Amino acid sequence: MKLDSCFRSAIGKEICQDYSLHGESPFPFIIVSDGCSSSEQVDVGARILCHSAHKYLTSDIFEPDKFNGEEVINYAKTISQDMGLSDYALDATLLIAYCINGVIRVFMFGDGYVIVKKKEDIGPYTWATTRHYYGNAPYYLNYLTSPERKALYKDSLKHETGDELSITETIRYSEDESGVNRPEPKISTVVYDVPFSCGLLSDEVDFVMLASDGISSFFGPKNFHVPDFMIINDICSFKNSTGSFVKRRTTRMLEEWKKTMTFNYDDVAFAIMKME
Amino acid sequence: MEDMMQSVALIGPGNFTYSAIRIDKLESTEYTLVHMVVDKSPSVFKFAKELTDCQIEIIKSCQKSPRMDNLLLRNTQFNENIEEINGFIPLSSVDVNSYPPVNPSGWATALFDATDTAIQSVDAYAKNLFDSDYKANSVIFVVTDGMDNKSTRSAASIKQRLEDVRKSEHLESIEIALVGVTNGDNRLKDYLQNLATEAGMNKFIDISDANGKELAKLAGWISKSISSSSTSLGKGTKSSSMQHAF
Repeated sequence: MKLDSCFRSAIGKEICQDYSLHGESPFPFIIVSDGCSSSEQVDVGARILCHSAHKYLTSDIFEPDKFNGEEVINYAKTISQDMGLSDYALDATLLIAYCINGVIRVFMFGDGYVIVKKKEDIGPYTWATTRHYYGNAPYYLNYLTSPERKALYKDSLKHETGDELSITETIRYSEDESGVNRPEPKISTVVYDVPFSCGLLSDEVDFVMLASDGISSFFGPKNFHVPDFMIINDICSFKNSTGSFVKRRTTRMLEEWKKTMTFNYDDVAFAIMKME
Repeated sequence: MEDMMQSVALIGPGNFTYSAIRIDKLESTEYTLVHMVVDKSPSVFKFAKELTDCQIEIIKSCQKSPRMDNLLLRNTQFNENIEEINGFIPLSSVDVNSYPPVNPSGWATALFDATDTAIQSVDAYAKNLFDSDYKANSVIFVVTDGMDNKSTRSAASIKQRLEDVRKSEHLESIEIALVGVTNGDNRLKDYLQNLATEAGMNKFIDISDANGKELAKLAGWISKSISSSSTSLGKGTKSSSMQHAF
């Protein structure tokens, strides 16, 4: 299994508020976090959250079937408070995938992309799941540490959706090899505070990639919005899977888009788990 | 190591090939291609040991560099023929204790051909790297103590080659230095200095006395150039890595 991750700032931004991490201990894992740009010190917070999630994987209380986001955010909060960071520093999404005994488990707290390519004999399409929150305001794990903010979020969502308190989740597909067939997207409604989760058999998977929503922030001349699947196809077209292969692909991809005056206006972070 | 290498034939006059570590074995995102081209015609016999020591000192110094993992070294030696001592390989895989010495032999000096094929090999491998999303730049050091008397190529063709390579943009930068071990021969010095200018090289260095001290100094200068070039890789800076004083 090959693992890699990288993160890059948006055009004109000096500090990247996205973060990503990968490793093989205690078992293969990849993690991505996207800090809320309107909250303070989230660049540090996103990093603390990712490392807290990794720490949680190594802890005695970790159960493979159930990734407990609340444990992670509580641990991250103690670190954040010790460091004297803002209460908002941990306003960040968390996406994590890990592989234990041939099963890859994926969890997404907030928005972002979970991108999966099955092995060719299993299925011809790459699919990508993402969630759409009202006002582009994802439900952060950090709300679990503040009853006031948790209630405020719920009230504001209630104002938009009534008692349903739901958001939409979309699964979109790539074209198959012929370039002609592409399944219709599947759109469903889900409860806002339940994270996305799925389990995959590693034998059936070519790769799992986690990405921040910066994928959907590419704009070119005349305000042309580059479709997210175009970016997904681009980032996933790595030439080999040796060493820092996603870092290489990301650098080249951003350089190529730049030539057409197309830039990412939000930070991007990627992490990948590729089967060999 | 053998199953990690690939061999590629270069198009053009002569039957030149270069070898290099297979791209799918390279873990980093960017590489500086370092090419040493060393004269081994009979006239170098007086300072062959110092030349060998100089090469080993350069390798040792690069192996201590924080950029070691981003350096790939190819080394060729030439008389009337060109011999590949090692293809583009990671510095970490070079064993300085068993590194082949400069063994003077042959009867002529194919300086232009050796220089041109070095540039060609750098360009060909850089294209492979580029096509696989790697960033690369290159520094080439040509060391000779004599005038060309065998090549099928010329200073003008080297200049054209360099221009073509720079236009192709597979490399962020390519710099080439000619080191003339002239031992006080002003005619040779003028010849090599003109060659460096005519061929569009970045630097000419005159070693007027090929003693251990001077060649150690050369090793230091080359190591610093390599380090500077590698550090600038990916930064988008255009400053020359060969501008520091010898």
